Amino acid sequence: MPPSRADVFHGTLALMILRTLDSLGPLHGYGIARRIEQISDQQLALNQGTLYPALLKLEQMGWVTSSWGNSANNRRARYYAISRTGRKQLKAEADNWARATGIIERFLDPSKDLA
Amino acid sequence: MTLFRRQHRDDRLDEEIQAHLEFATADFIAQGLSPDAARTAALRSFGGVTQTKETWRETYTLAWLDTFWQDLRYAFRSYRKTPGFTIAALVTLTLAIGANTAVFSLLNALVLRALPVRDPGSLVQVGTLTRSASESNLTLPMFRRLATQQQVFSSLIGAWGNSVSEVDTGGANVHALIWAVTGNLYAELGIWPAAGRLLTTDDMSLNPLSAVSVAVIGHTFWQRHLHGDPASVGRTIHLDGVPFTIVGVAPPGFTGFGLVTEADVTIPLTALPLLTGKSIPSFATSASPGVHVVGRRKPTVPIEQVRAQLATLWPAIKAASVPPDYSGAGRDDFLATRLTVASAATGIEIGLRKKFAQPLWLLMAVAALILLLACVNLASLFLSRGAARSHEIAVRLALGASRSRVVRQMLTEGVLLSLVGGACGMAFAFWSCRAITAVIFEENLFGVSFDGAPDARVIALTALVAMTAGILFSVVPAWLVTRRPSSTEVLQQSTRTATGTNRPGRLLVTAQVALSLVLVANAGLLVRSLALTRAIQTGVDRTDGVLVAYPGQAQRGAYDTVDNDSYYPDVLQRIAAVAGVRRVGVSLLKPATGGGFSDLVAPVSDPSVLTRGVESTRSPVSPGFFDVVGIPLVVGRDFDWSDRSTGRRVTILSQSLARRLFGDHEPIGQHVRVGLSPDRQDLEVVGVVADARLYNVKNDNVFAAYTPALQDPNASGKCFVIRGSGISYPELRRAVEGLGRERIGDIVTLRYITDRALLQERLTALLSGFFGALALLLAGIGVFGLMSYSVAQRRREIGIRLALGANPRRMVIDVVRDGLGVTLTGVAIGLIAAIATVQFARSLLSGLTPYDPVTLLAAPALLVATAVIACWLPAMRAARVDPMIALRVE
Repeated sequence: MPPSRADVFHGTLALMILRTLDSLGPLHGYGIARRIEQISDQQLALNQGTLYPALLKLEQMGWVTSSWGNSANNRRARYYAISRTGRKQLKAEADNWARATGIIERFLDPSKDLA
Repeated sequence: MTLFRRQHRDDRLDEEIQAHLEFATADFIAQGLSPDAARTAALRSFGGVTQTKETWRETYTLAWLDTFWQDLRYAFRSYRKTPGFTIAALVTLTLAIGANTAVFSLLNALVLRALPVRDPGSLVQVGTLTRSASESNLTLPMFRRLATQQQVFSSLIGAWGNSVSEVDTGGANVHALIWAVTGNLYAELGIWPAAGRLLTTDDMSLNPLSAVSVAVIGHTFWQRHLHGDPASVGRTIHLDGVPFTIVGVAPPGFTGFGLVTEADVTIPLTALPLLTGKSIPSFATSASPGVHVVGRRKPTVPIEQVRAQLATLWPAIKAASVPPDYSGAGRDDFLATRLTVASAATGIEIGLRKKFAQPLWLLMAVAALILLLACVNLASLFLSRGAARSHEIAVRLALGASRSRVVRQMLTEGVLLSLVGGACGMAFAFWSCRAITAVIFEENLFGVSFDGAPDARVIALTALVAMTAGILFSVVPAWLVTRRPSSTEVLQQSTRTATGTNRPGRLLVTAQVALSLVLVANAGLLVRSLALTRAIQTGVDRTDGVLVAYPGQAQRGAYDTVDNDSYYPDVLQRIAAVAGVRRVGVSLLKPATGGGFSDLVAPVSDPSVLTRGVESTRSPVSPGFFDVVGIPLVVGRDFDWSDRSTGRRVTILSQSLARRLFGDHEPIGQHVRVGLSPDRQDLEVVGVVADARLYNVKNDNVFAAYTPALQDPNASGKCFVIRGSGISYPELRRAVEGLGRERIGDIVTLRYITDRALLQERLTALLSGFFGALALLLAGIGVFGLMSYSVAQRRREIGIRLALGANPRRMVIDVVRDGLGVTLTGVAIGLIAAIATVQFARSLLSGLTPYDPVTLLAAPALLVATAVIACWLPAMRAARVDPMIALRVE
């Protein structure tokens, strides 16, 4: 299998979802999508639909829970919330990510001489 | 179920997407887009809706499979941890499912399965019922008239057989089963030859009667006697000396309309008279009702219409077919014959089906009950196992597992167990089917091609039954176990309380005991019936080889000129001269065939036997007969060769009959009347022999009057009984046939025929005995499971009581009493049910009524004893509870 961008994307998408739910509390899918787009300053061309399989996956892992609820304008929607294990996972993932980006950054930093 | 779930999850996603698009559209409108443009923009930013759905579904299914694997692995692990439970459950399932499969296979093969021919559903069998209501067939004249006059069948097949002929294959003489059929048979049934061609309508005609001397040989016969040589086609074989040309070989396993016997040689129906040296046209006035008639009804004609039309034709056909030499009573009897019409979709298998259909249905019901019992048993086992695991389950629920997740886990465990059990049961069924089939056809003289093994239909049914059973016995306990008020409560309670009652468990065990009692009582009746039949001394010494040679087809006019007085000693001497023969005798009544002559016997002082006569078996026997079969002479003498047709009329009575007629008086020298025949109104008793049930093994009437064979006008149908060892059958046959009058048919051992007479009883008793024992075992396991559970639950309470100085014996008594309470309730219910149901077994019993007090007392006693044993181990465990450990568990 060629290294697929989707895989990498999925991993980061999960992280973004968990982070969003952690900071904002329960949200529906559209809410999460909007939030991710806002944070990324519209730089991330998110196919909003890909959010839902990712959410299902997270739910199956037990990191988020979902239930039906009503939005501000009284539309029924599925609301997702982060679970306790989800928070743990988020912390672990965030640490990993920080470490990984740190290493890459050091590699790419032109001020450092690799030779 | 899967379908609903898929629907359910798709609905969820659809609604989410809908909501998403609405939110997005609203936002775009708020940004100033027109509703249409907003909608398009929303869709664009969402990306592919279909693709989202696909990915979503994939994720869902993968997870489902993943969970399934998890469940499966978990199930394996938990089964491995409790090997005792697992083995008990598997054995239960194997036996219960196996028994069901085996019985259903046999029922299917013998009773239900359609003939493996083209469109069996439209085949209709036409037969007759004689005045005495015995089933018979049509004579050739009847068949010919029926064939020309009927309009309900698209074609009408006639078949005669199987008769036995001596076949000269061009190298060896063998006895073979001959089937004679109309030319349309093979084409009509869609049968193709294995070699050459089969019979066609060109090989014979009914109008005028004609036949070509051609023959089709059976596949087995071809293999066995002609070594499967393709060049056999075209060769000539001799049937009873008459030449026939082999034109082809029937396909393997073609058993005609029957289920068991492959015909060795099949010839055109109208060629049949040739075998007995008669001309073909002489068949036109045949009086033998030997034609099996099977018609294919026209597609538009229902069977009722067939019956109606044939009924209107029948009186004229009958009247026109009266054999010319019939008059008086014979003619009246002939005209009283009725026509019967029945579906032939499952074939014409009179003997076997009649004998086994009823016991098989009974056994099927019993097996189904066993399966139900096994389910109840497993449900209660699972329930107590679930209860034992309630702590674990509570932990899982508390950790966030949903109730349905836990139920699903238990369901997986149940179905896994039942599928493994089903597979084992299938293997068990294959084995037992083969064993039972072997018993049914043991020592069958002619090749049997009967397939009793489970077919695809049976296998599918087994899988279904196993699945259903698994779901049944796991879902209920799963539901009950997870239906705890709240998991925290359970976590607190699990080891502490003496919840005591466990109502569902108790009800299940009560039901088990009740069901078991029904089965045990039923089995007890059948086993006792067989034991009674066997125990009554057959009075026949069967310790060493006694052969019975049944009469075969006699030569033409064999008895026309025979002088019995010289022929009997002659033929017996010739047999006695065969190597290995020690003694030989003749009985005109066939041993152990159930039927026979029955006559009233009375002292000659009675004016007629009709007033006080004693119903007795009458058998004409030769001198030396009693010696050969080992019936001891009690007093007087045996017949000798001076008891000939011109001699004094004498008889020998069985001991019981002599005592019944003459009490303590000396029987020798008394005179008796036997039946109404004028020449048997004054027979002198010359001897008394021990009682024997030689002729009808099942009948407990041991009254018998023997008469000298030489004094019997009927000389045909001799059964030779021969004692000896290492006797050559062909030599025996030659010895008799050498005299040019009679032939010997089947030769079998006496032990075989007396045992065989009880075959159906033996099998039924064996199988229902097995089921009864199984039911008992299951009830025992049920009680054991319940009490073990209850003791485990009450450990703390018992510990406290023991700590406070209670006597451990008291604990034992408590547990046993508790178990017996449940058992006795079950026994009481079961006894009522048993009494209500045992009468279904009535027709299979001989020598006792369904309400046999011995059985109805023994069965409950047996169950109670089993229950006590089953309580014992848990009770001992209760007595040995260490108070310190029990209290420290907290």
